[in-house]
Amino acid sequence: MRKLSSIQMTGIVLAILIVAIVGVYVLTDTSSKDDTLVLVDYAGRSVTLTDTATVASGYPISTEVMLFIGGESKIIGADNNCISNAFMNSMYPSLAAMENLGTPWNLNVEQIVALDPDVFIMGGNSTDMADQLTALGVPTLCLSFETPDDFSYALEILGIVLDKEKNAEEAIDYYEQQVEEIREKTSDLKSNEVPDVLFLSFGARGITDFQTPGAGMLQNNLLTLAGGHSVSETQPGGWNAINMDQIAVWDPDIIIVTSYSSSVTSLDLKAQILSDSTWNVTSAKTEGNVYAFAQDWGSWDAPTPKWILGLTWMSAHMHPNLYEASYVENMATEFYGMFYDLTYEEAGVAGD
Amino acid sequence: MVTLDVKGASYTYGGEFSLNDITFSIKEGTICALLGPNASGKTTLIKYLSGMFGYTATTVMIDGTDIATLTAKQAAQKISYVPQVHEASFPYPVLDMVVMGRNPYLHFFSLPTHKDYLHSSAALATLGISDIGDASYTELSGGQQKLVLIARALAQEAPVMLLDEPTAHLDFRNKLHILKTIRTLVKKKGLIALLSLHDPNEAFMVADEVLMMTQGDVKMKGPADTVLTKEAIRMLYGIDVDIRTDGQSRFIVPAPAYFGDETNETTDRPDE
Amino acid sequence: MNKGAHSSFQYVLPPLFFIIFLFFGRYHISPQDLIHATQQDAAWILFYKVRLPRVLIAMFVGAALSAAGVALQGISRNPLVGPEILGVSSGAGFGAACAILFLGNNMLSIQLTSFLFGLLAVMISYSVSKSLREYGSSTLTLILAGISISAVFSALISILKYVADPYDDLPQIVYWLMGSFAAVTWHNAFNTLPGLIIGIFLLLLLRWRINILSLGQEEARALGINYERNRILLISAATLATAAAVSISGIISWVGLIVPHITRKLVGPDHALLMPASLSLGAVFMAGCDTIARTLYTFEIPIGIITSLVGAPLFIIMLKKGGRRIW
Repeated sequence: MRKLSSIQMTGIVLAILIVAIVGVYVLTDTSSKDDTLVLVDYAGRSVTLTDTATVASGYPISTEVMLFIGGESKIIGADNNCISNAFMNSMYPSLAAMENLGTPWNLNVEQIVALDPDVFIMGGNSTDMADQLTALGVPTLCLSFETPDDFSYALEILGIVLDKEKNAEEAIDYYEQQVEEIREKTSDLKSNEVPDVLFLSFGARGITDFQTPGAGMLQNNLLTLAGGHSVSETQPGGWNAINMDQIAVWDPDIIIVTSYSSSVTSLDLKAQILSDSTWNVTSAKTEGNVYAFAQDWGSWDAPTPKWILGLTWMSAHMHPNLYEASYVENMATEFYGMFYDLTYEEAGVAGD
Repeated sequence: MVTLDVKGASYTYGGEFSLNDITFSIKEGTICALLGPNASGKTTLIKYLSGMFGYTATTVMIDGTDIATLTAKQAAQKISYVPQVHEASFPYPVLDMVVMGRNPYLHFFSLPTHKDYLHSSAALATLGISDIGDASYTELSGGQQKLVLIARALAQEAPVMLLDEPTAHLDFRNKLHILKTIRTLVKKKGLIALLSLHDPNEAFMVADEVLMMTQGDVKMKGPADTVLTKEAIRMLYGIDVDIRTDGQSRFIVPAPAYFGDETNETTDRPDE
Repeated sequence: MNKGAHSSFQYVLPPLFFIIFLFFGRYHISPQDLIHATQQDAAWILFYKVRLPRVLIAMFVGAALSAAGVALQGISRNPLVGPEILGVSSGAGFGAACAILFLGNNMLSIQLTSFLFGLLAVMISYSVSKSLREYGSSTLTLILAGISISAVFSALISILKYVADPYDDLPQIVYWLMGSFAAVTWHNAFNTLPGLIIGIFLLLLLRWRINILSLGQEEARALGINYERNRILLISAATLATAAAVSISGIISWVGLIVPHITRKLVGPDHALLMPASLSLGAVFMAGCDTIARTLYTFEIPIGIITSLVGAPLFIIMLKKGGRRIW
């Protein structure tokens, strides 16, 4: 064919470029689609959801929170902890019909992909597996519940996903209000009114095998919020073993003991401490400031929805002068009624 | 007079190695050489006598005592054993190796006493190796190691000493040294020594008596000079040999035809 | 023989270091504090009720593991062997995991179950090796059987970890397996000391015989020792000591393997000397590592980390030093 002039050449190239640019823009523009949703999770991952009819959770806390805001009708798969928990089954019978996905440590990618939920929820640190699942066609959100702010954010996200935004908002308001109330009470505390608290959990070897929470752990966050100072908060993150020598060095004002084991309760552990004269190295023991952390079907200090009860409990025990005697029980009764439709007795609260 | 009397010793193991009704007697102060080809039963006989397979009653008598009635320790006071190969697992000093030979005399849980160490030092001296008493066994030469093992057996103070191919893996000089040592020992201490040998010439050098075995049977026994004949060698090894003598000692050489080339004449001829 | 010089050293070291280690800890206690302290004072309580049993048990455990290592290396004529080789540690770990999962979280049931399963694992290894007798030397079949049974029990532990509650039982199992002296009290020390003492005592009694056994079955028999009976005795004593040790402190590997080597370099391979010297060095080493573990930071460092970090360079330095060969 005949040679094109340079102007004609330029014109054609320009036209092609414009078509290409517009085409790319059109094809990659996702925000204008009507029925898709883009959510940002705890790890900052931006996840696109095309549908939210079915949801599954591989992380016990998120399962519990999802049930908490009333989203059980959409849940088709959940983690082993919640599914095998007898008490939770009695509160949420729909658990029996959900597919058991195992524990957070051994989730099976193929099983989840086969289940094909529209949204999958995991814990905050599982970003590798989350990315893998998203690439395989199962959009996955990573949520953390370790701080009050993270908790509120998670509630918000889950509210959107489960179509329970109103419930979520109600919960968020309740939590924020309660936290604010406690903050008000404790903000005027002078430094010598903030007690040194030793928070302990116990291990297999019994009363002498104890561990303390380290930096960034929920228990320490709550203690600080509640107007206390956790002596172990500068230790490396996670649970650390300590020995009696160190406890004597810290000499805490208050000792709070908790049990995550189903075979021994925090009250049992408290009784063991009080009867063991080795603990006389601390004034907390000799003056009787040893408290068994409260628990119902789980401990109140875990990042489940009940942490708000744990926070309140801590504050009331550290500063009894700021709270009336039955404050915690009243608050718990209100909480159980509002969110679980349970009475205080039905919840089976134990501890101090 | 201490004698070793073996009557009707029989044993089979592994399907291949066996002894068939072996009977013989050796007096004190005698070296008896066990000769035979591979798998003839020589090593099996030595191991049998050392007690590895347990003893059957009245089969092995030493100085009139039935060894089957003795405990392991008591038996070890009567029979000592020098193995052909010793895999050293730890670098024990030589003296410590030798003092292990005193084990048959240790009570229950006791350690070797000063007396035991003296016995061991004496054993080293008898063999002329006192100077290596502190050396590590693993750093010795093959010949020295063999001497240490003999010293250990000597420390057991047992009238009967069994040696399984004592000259194996040794260089020429050490072979002769060991043979001479054994002979001196036996004559000086009046021991009964039974040693298995691969080379019948060594039997001529050192043995008073010879036991010839094939396939688990003792085919011939008696004084070395009378029993080791051309016919005997042919029966044992299937080889034609000449037995030469220079008046003092006798030695075996292969028959001329053995190395001879049938087509070409060689200029090499055996010495007269 | 200069064997006398070594012996006095090894008797002095453990008691000396015992006293020294007792005065280390996060809480500062000086001898003067102690003299003036009453039973209510923190210094008194920490010294007599917390540190004393702990350092004592650490020493006994270190001694037991080292002695067991000496015995097993001697019997099996193999430098790579430690007291875990016959399966006692994996068996004990399995027992502990079972106790944690099914018998509730208490020290007594864990101690008992881990002890019994430790013994059981070795009995199984031994029986298996007997049935394999015609396929190889008895020391080799024993080691191979031990390795296999260890593997089986390790796999069983993994299964238990898999089904364990990840927030409650699983961390306990993992923590127990890691090894620690943090939970030693007089009460559980009394439970364990008999096993430790008897095991160590037997190993001491039999130490000369290890020399003979290390020559192999043939020569041992010729020297008047019943090879099989003595082997069983030594294995039983070593297993008793190790099972008792693991039942109180969890699995602390490496100590039973390298202390015999280091001691062998120092005093030679004669087990009459090697055994008491290893007991001594093992006791001081373990208690020393534990002292570091409980004093360096506010939290407890898992002792396996210290024994490896301190032991490995020590081992290499010893290897490079001139002098006698260790093997």
